[in-house]
Amino acid sequence: MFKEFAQGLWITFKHLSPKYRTTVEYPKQRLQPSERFRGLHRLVLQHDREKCVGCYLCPTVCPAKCITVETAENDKGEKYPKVYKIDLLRCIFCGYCVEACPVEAIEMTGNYELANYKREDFEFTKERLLK
Amino acid sequence: MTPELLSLSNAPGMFVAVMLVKILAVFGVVMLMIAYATWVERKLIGHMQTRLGPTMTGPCGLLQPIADGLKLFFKEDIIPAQASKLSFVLAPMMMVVPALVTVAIIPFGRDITLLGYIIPMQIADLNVGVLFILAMAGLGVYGVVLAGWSSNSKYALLGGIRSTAQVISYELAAGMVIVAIFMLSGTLSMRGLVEAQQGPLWGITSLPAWIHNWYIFSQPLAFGIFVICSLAEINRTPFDLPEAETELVSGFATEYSSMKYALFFMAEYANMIVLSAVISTLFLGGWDGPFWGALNLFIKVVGFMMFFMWIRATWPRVRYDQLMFLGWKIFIPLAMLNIVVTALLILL
Amino acid sequence: MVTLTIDGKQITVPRTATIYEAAMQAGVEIPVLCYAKKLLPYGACRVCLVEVEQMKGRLIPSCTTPVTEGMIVRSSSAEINKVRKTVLEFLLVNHVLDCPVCDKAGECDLQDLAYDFDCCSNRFEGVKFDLPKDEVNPLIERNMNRCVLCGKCVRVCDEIVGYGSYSFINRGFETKIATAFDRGLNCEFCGQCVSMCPVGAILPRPFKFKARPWQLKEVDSVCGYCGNGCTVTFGVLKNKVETIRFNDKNGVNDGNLCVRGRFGYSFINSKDRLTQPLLRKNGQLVPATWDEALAAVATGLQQAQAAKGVGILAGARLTNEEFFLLKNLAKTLGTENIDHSGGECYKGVTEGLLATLGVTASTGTYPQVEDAEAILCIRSDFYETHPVFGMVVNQAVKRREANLFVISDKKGKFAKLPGAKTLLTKPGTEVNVLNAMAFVLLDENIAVTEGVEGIAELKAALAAYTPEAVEAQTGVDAELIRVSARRMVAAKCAAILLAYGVPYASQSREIAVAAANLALLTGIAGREGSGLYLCGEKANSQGAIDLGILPGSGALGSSAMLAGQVDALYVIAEDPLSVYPNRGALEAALKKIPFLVVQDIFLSPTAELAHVVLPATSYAEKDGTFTNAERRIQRVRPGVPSPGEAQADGAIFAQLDARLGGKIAYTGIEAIFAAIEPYREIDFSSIGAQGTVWGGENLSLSRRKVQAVQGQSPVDGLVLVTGSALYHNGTLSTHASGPNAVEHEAYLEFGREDAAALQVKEGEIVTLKGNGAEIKIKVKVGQRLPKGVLFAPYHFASAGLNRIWHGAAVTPVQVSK
Repeated sequence: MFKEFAQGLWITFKHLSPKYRTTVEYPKQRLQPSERFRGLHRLVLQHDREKCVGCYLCPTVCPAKCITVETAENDKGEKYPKVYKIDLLRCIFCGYCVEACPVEAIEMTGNYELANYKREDFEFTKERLLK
Repeated sequence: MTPELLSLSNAPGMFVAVMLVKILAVFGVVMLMIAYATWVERKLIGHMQTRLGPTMTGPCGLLQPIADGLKLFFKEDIIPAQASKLSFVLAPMMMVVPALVTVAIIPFGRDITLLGYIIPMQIADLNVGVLFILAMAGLGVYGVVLAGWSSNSKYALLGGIRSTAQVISYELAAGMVIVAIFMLSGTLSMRGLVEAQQGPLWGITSLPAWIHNWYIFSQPLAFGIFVICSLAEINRTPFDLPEAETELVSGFATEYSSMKYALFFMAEYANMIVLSAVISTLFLGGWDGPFWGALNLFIKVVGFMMFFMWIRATWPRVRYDQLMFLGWKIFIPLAMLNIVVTALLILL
Repeated sequence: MVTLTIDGKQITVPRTATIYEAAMQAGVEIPVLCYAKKLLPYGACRVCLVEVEQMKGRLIPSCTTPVTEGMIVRSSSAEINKVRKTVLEFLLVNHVLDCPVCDKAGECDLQDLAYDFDCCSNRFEGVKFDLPKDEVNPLIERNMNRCVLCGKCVRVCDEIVGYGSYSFINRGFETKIATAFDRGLNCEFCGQCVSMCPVGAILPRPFKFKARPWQLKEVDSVCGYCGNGCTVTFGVLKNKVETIRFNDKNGVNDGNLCVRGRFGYSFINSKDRLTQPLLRKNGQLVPATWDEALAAVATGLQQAQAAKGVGILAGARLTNEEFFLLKNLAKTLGTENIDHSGGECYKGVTEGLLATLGVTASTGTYPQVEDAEAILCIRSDFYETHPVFGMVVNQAVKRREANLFVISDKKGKFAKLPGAKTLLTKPGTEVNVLNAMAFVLLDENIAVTEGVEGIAELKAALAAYTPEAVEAQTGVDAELIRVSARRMVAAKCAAILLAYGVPYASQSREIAVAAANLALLTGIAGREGSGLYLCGEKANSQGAIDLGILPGSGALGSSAMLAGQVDALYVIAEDPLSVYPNRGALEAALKKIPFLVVQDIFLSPTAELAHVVLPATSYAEKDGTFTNAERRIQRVRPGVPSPGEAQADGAIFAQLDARLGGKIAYTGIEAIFAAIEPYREIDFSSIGAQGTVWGGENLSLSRRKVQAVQGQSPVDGLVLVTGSALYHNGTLSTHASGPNAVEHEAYLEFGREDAAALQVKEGEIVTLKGNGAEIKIKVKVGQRLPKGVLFAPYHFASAGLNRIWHGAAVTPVQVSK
């Protein structure tokens, strides 16, 4: 029993050594997210409009039900998302929307700095997602 | 003129002045230690858990205790509507005061002679010093119980009750362990205890000059039991059941906020300091050591405190039944056995 | 019966069944693209191929092959699946893959099959279609690039609707579905083709890009327009009815709907809906709380009841339960001045039938009409008043070769059906023709006289109605009258159809009696499989009659109430000012009524005169039952919540009743239904998807008494007749964007001859004068009308047609430019 106590104490003592440091001092020091990191979404632009054709597959597949799409007809008679909103407070960053998209209109960027002060600021509209 | 002990009767003015200086010095040091003990604890535990602890406030987060203090000071002071107001306010004070008062009897250096008077490096030399310590430690728990009861919250009450049971259980063992010390020293005065530990260790004179017959050498079992009981008495991990977060939110302190909460915090660290000092005095020769008197004590106290923190970083909380088992079925018999064995050895 | 084996399951089916139908019955799924339950087998898609043991060596299309005794069928095997997959690959060679933007995706048969048969790649290469889209009309969009040439649209338009908009044109790879001369679609816009299309080639435009099928909540209810009682399925998204879904499992309409039913839902979401009670303060209608409004109504009604009395006039769009609560309210108030709908349009008809047959409802059901051998339509082309009933007649004529006779003043769509005979009368002389037919039956001694009272009197009274005399009067060929009379009596199963409604109020008693005479003399009335059909104009016209929303004996009817003989008038779901005859007089009378309460869903012209306006709910927001023209009680279910503070009529009645001291409260629809006396034998919970017909398939008559009625002599010169237009029903549909997209304003229809003679052109605005009033109205030139007859639909309040029309069947008018 005493051996185990001592072992425990030894382990914690060992960790005092700087080589065990794992903390990244975040605002001063930032990690480079991997290529496949699933951060903030981005809608892809194509010519003068978003690539999205409003097929509703992303809101359908979304397990968190955080995507709102409302489609309409534009001047050219094409289907386009009149409203495209992601409620980031509900998003679980699973990336299913990206996987489901038949036209590769939605991507996930490496942006993980998503804190905000107001609830409304977490609602990413089409305009914000296109940036 | 042989220097005589400075007292109220022979030099009242000087006595009062020296007393004030001593009190202020001790109080100041203790308060600073309390503040920075929090910093040290966070840093130490942080590193032990491969984290960093505070880094953002000042260099190495050194201003963190001050920031915390300011924050707590400016927080809204909430008294629950259903709480018993007077006791609710009183409870934190009842915890801090005994902790701080105990410091008064800790000797922190060799007597000095000034203007023909002997000035003891101790605020008050009570001839029943150890009893005083036990009394104060016993009083401190009233704060916890009162806080738990007056909050009118089930978590707080449970925390308070646990604390009572815990302190009663462990105070017994601690008290009995000290009995063995008295038997060796023949005095209850802290000063006397330190002096009693000044002799050569087991009559061996080849050891370095500063190694004396500290009671840790003659009473290792008592030392172990007393250290563990001390942990239990000041509610530190692994005996922090009164404030067990996982089950009791924050135990007796659940309903407290602002400065009142800070007082609980202060009390905890003050207790830690005091007990470290008491252990040092009882078992490690107090201010005795290779350096200047107060420094020796300081090193010992800091050492104990860091040891307590180290334990906190390492061991999980014991279960309540384990706590009781340990107190009543192991420590008390062991302490009794220790008395018997010590008595027999003295007789022989 | 024939017994065969499908996938090891033995099943016995009728001799006429196909392998596919047998498989359905056996619970074996065979994939199809071109098959539809209500259409004749066609065999275009070749997806339903199966293996038959007795016909080894080739695969057999299951949807067109009739079953034979002992057949052993295998519905799937590696080979069958390979062939099916190949068929799909062929289809997908030219089919554009725009599923992401195609509204059909998710309920597309081709998509589902491609998924089922794992068509991920195509072995064949070809050029994708790039045909122009037909987006000329506002209701139906056609994108022939997505067409799989199943021909369902062609067949439904021909077999069911009888319009024949579409056909296949070109050959081979170029084959496509097109309209005549490949122009934009210009038809009735019933949208049957939309509902049939298995892919996204024909889609409803109002729903374009609105939602995905799987997002929609489906609520089964009953259409709130005409009395046909078609079941509809609302496609609800975010508490808004976005579309009407195809559903052929409920009701008697087989999923058939007309333009109103399919596209007329949009008024539900209209911004003009009343959302809060209005109270007249200082001459202005201002918003008020329910509490204020109901208090005002309760006091107003009580005061009036103490004076000259209160009148209650309800429209026939309320549910049976609401009618019941309204009757309770009237009882609490102590008034018997209660009446419903259409300026007593129902009155003559029901009185006539009661006097002769002793019933006030249709004696048969719709499915019987489908099997009828002879059908007589009186006065109206059913296509305009009850389009889906029209489709039933269509199928009887086209599939079962029934003889169709139409007594009408215009040659409508029925006239074009194969073998249909139109007895084209001068307007207002239908009774004369009916009398002549009765004369023929009695004269030739072929009439059924057993058990019929009053034969002798009738015979004597009909002496003047020889076919020749009637021909001279009405212009109907005497021989045709004879032929039709003989046919009607000879047919084993026959149907006489009679519609009523606001514009058909004149001479309605005479017509009803004459029709009932004919029904008795031909033996149609009361005979199994035959029937006299009494078709109300509005969704619950029959319910209102069944529940007795009629004036008590000696009490005032609607015309008396509207003439101002009451101190307070409570108008519910009705807009007399817009559609009742003689607007001028009505306006004056309504303005004089001391306390007028209007409860409606729009601020109608009548509501604008009211002292209190209560916002009510539409059929899509109600819970309850409707009784359709064939006595079928069907469930109405709320698809969406009512807009703003609007409340269901029933809830308003219940609250008013409580305020007026009523003692009885009901816990819900079921409790109210249980309390309805005429329907006491029907258990509410037993009303299933097909509804419940009260009185049995064929209603038994309580009397058989023929009565003599006199016809009218025709009016010479240019005359105006009014009636229903196909795209509208009452005034409600004029708030719906779907029907409005086709016809949004009143028009005056001319026959070609008249148009040429008067030198008016389509789209021109002319002045119509008559009965001392004149209105401006747009010209429409058609082929339906004979010389000297003009037609204008009555639905449009803004046109003010009812200033000229005073309720008579014919109104002499002058037209000037």
